[in-house]
Amino acid sequence: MRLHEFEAKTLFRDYGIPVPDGKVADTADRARQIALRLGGRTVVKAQVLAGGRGKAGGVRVADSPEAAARYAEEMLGWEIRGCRAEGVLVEACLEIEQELYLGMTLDGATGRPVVVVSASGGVEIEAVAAAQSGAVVSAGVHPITGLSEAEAAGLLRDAGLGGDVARVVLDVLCRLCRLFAACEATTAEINPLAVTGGGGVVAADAVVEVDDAALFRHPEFQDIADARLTDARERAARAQGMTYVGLDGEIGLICSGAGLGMATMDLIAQRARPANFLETGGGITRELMAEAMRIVLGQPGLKGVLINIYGGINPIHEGAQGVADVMAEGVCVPVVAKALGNFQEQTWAILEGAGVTVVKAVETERAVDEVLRQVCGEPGVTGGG
Amino acid sequence: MAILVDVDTRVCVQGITGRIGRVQTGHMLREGARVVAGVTPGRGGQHVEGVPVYDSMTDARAGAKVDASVVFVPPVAAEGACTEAIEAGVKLVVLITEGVPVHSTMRIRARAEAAGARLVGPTTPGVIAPGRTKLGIMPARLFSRGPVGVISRSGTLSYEISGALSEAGMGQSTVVGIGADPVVGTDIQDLLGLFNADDETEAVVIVGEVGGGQEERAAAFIASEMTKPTVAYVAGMGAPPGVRMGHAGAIVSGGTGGVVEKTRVLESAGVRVAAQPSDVVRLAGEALGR
Repeated sequence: MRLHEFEAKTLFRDYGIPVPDGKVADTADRARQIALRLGGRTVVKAQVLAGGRGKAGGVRVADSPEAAARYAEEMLGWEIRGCRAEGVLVEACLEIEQELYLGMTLDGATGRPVVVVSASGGVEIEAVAAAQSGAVVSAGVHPITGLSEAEAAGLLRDAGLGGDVARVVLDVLCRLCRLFAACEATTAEINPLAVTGGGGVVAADAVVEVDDAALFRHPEFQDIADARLTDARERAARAQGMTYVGLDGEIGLICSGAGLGMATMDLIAQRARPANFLETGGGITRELMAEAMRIVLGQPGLKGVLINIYGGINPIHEGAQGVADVMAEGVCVPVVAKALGNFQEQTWAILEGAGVTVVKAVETERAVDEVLRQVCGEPGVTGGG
Repeated sequence: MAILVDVDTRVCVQGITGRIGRVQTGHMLREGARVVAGVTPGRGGQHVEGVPVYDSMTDARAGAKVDASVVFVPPVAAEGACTEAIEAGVKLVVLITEGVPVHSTMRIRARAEAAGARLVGPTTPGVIAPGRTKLGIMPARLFSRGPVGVISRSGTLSYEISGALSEAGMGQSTVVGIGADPVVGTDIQDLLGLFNADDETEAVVIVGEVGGGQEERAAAFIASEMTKPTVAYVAGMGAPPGVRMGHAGAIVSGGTGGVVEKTRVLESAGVRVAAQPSDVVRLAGEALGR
């Protein structure tokens, strides 16, 4: 889960990482009041979770409280790459002498966090790394013992940072490491870390992503997580431990397993449009499958449903009862299922008894053929198979 | 021979008295697995499917020689269970649980590395050597013994592809689900090395998906080290950028981790890449010279 900039900066404050004076506003008038209190020039920043905000005009410098209110008015309700700005962050404008980069993320190759430092911040770090070898330095962090102060100091030296600046940056880096571990973050990035006139540093921007899987032991993020789930179908799916992603097509999907779900979605997309991606996870029950059916069938414009499940950890014969429960309520689009593995024969009998077309081949291609044949009357041939 | 496991591997099931652990222990026993012990704190002295249950891994190791542990505990207990197994000297830990916090996984992996043990997973269906043993949850009827090694980031997709290979008469030496999280204990590259050295394996199938850099690292290894033909399929062509597709690690971000890129990198390493799952069978047949 990615935090908004203002949420990440609140976290930074808690961990003693300096951030600009400022506050989030959800109306133009509040933005004006915040700018008035801050005095002087302010920066107004749209709070959206999409990258590329600056290029889209989501960051503006305001010379007066009235200008701050005007920019806020423009930005509130904006959509940048599908993300809606529900708030703007109004901050005191910084006098920046140098822009640095500090970041932490996960390294799948080593299975450890990695800390990344550059003396050239303020732009995309990937671009800096590509343009200038040696400009971006990084080091692995031991997941149990963490990064020692000596290792951190060495990394800053390698990045070409010295003197008083290096001392204050070292402090920020150690605090960022603590935040990353304590919040179970998957990304924590300060770009830029601004070196200001007085020799201090301030986190001008803040990106923090926390691990969804760890939210159960982080009650401090619970409210934010609840607020993020605005889509009713996503919320209903999550409540059952399923993953739902809404798409805008006509063939609904219920799959056990994310890889199988993606493969099935890709096969449908070759000839029609998937209405959703729904992955049940390993906890199929009668109730869960009934809920999955209701979520998928609730999508407007639906023309058919494809169920593609395997009985490994999942008791698919129990899940089939849930499908049958919903079929008995009356379903007006064709429902096709492929269900293999443990208890497949019982599963087929229950599904066929409920009016579901069961495809017994192992290839998902055959099930996609069947649902498209029933929906569009296409001959059942998927190329290449 | 199989990789990671063989017919003699002595298995402990952690979380054996839970709903899933109980059912899956029965399935594993029926596939030939030598399940010699189970662990659930507070349930020592009970039996599940005839397997003695112990209160801790230390007790289990005192009661029976254990080579490998299969872990079926909730996410909140996963780190503790795996750590206990590693500290008790178990050299292979298969963590089936999905939804394990990634910082827990990183700590488990670091402990395993320090102890010379191997972690497979989390979010894995486990390891099966068809006809010999099964340390996991896969429906065994879809698998058969033969010359193809399968490495999969997806559980159910590994069932589908193994099932199709079996139908076409191409059995599997070992099928390993590596798990779908951003950090896993054992990755594609590690297993390619093992399959490369395995006498029974004549060709390897990689089932990848969007997100992360595993397929890319595997491609580099294949180009320089792999002597056996390799086939791949990568799921998630239609995955919208920035959206997590059910697996914690399945996310296309910043223009990296997409199917097109992974396909290009794998193909340039000489891998035959299937456009859809059923193509894997044809390509594997070609790779085996059938």
